[in-house]
Amino acid sequence: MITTQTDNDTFIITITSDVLDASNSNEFKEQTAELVKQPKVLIDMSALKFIDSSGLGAILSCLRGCNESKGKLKLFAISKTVRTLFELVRMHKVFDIYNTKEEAMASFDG
Amino acid sequence: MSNDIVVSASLLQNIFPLNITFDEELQVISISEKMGLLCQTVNSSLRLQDCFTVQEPHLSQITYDEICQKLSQYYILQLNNSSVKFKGHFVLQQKAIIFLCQLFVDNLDNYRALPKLDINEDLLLSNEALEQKISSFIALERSLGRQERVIEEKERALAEERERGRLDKEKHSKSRKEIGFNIQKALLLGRLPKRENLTIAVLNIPSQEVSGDFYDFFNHDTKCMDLVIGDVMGKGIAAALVAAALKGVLLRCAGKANLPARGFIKPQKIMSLVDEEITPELMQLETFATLCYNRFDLFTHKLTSVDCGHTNILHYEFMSEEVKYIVGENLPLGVQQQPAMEVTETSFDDNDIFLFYSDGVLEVQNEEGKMFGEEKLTQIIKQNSQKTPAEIIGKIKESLIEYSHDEFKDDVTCIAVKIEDVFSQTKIYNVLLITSCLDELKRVRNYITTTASKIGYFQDEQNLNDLLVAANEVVSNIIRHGYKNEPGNVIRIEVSISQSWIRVCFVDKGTPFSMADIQNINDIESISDDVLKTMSGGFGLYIIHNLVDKVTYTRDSKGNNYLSLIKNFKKETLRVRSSELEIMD
Repeated sequence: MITTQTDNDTFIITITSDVLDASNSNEFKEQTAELVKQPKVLIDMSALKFIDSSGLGAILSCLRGCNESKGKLKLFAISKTVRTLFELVRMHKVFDIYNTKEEAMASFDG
Repeated sequence: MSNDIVVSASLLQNIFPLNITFDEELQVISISEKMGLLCQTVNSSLRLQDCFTVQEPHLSQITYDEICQKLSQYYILQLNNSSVKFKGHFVLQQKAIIFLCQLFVDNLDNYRALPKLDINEDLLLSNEALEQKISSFIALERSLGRQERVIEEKERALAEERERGRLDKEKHSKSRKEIGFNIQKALLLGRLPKRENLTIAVLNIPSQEVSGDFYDFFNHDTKCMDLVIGDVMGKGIAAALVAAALKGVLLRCAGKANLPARGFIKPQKIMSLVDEEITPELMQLETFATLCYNRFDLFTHKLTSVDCGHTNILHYEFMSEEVKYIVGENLPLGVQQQPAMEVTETSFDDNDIFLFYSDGVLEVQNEEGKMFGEEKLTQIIKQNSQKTPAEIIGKIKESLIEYSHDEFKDDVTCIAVKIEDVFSQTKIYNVLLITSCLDELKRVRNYITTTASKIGYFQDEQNLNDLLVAANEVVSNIIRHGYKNEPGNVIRIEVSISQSWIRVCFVDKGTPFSMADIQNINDIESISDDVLKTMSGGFGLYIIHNLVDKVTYTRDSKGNNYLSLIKNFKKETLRVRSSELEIMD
């Protein structure tokens, strides 16, 4: 479902599943709960093609988990359809979203 | 000079024929002849008190001196053993007193037995005359009474006669009215066709008199049905006859449309033929008729109407939930020949409702004389759009009866036509059964993708994704809330596609929870960003309602919940998401 890597001081979670819905969002939450407790976290959304409200909830819980440990969480490479749903429920105002990994990495330096 | 008048004894006898003379001992000295006849028991040896009882004045003792002291008094003496009474005065006359008197009559009956004298004859005669008068009065009264009874009887007979006449007349007019209605029903009102994709219900309330309302249906084939509705000016047999003639012409002209070799003749051609044939006749009769010819084409999903002066057609659009008015352009038939007929074409879709009616519906009046009008009709359709045509017609009837204060003055004709499942049968209709397991979500998405992709609109990734997300939210809601995550329950998903919209219907037997109810939805737009961040769910219903055009929810008596998502893919959607207007970083 996910793979992780560290690029310099930034922890990157890549969602490998093309779907994040009610059937796997709990699993995603469990897997990421501890991982997000880092100062700089990026989630690579490029593989994700479909998300529903449970999936949105799971991504939101990542953000909360990271913020609680004083970290910053950003998203990048969101597909068009996923982004549309983010916009519908105003998640694009809650998350920092970037087109590429490089842009997202650079934003931590600013 | 003395005031006394001296009269001779014989004159005295004439003036007072009734007199009797007593001596100092009150013994009878003499009695006049007529007095003697009345008092036959009295003779000269008797004393006053032996013959008479003094009734007045009241004397303590009847003596000569006593009477002499009260000469000015009048005396009433009653003959002993008799009821005959005398009234008069005593006159003093040389050691004698004479009682000069008259008969005292206080009861005429007492004198009937007496011998007739001049003195009492008059009394008896007048008494008899009086009695005669009385008895003739009584007789008159009796005869009047009899006559009164005769008159009463005659009056009663007359009233009965009148009532019989009235009943006869009523019966006659009722049977005439019935004949009229039967003729009207047979000749003017068509038989309801049974069709698969058009549900039809008719309301026809005849007024007091037959009139010129008529309608009919022509079934051409499974894809085509014509409905014609009309009204001839005026009322009564004349209007009904004209209507029957007009319908005859119409049947002939429309009948030609049925010839397979020639194809279907267009409604405008039929109406032109009718106009050509009937208008000169109507002009000659100085009457006119309104007529609206409609063709439901279930292949092209269009209603073609040629309206000649009839009332508007109401068209309830299921998608927009609006009632549109189809307004005719042509003149009524019989005004003048019309070289070309104007045609209106209206696209329809599943669950749309058409209402055709006569002006009698609009003209039903309430107590204040206000007419029922088109607006009320529109409201009834809007409020009952989920119901069957028969139920809608029932509601209209109910409202009309409630509204009107009197019997309907004009015929009331109303035809409701509902388009039913026309597309589910002709285009795409698909069913998927899944169990209450969140792993089934993928199968739901695949199923909808396969079905919806047959429509060009859903070949666009974004359009398809909107529908998939909405369907995904519904199914996960049913599993988590309706079935409370219990496995082994079933959800049936039916996709039906019309020419302008797709409907995905989810059927479950779980706890009822209306996802269509706006009350259950969190308004994401009014929640602040900070609060939004803390939310772990509750976006589902908001997402559903924002991604499709219509959400309906019903529950049947068997405990089935029906939730439908409807997405219109024909019309340009006016909805613009607010965020799309903002410039992204």
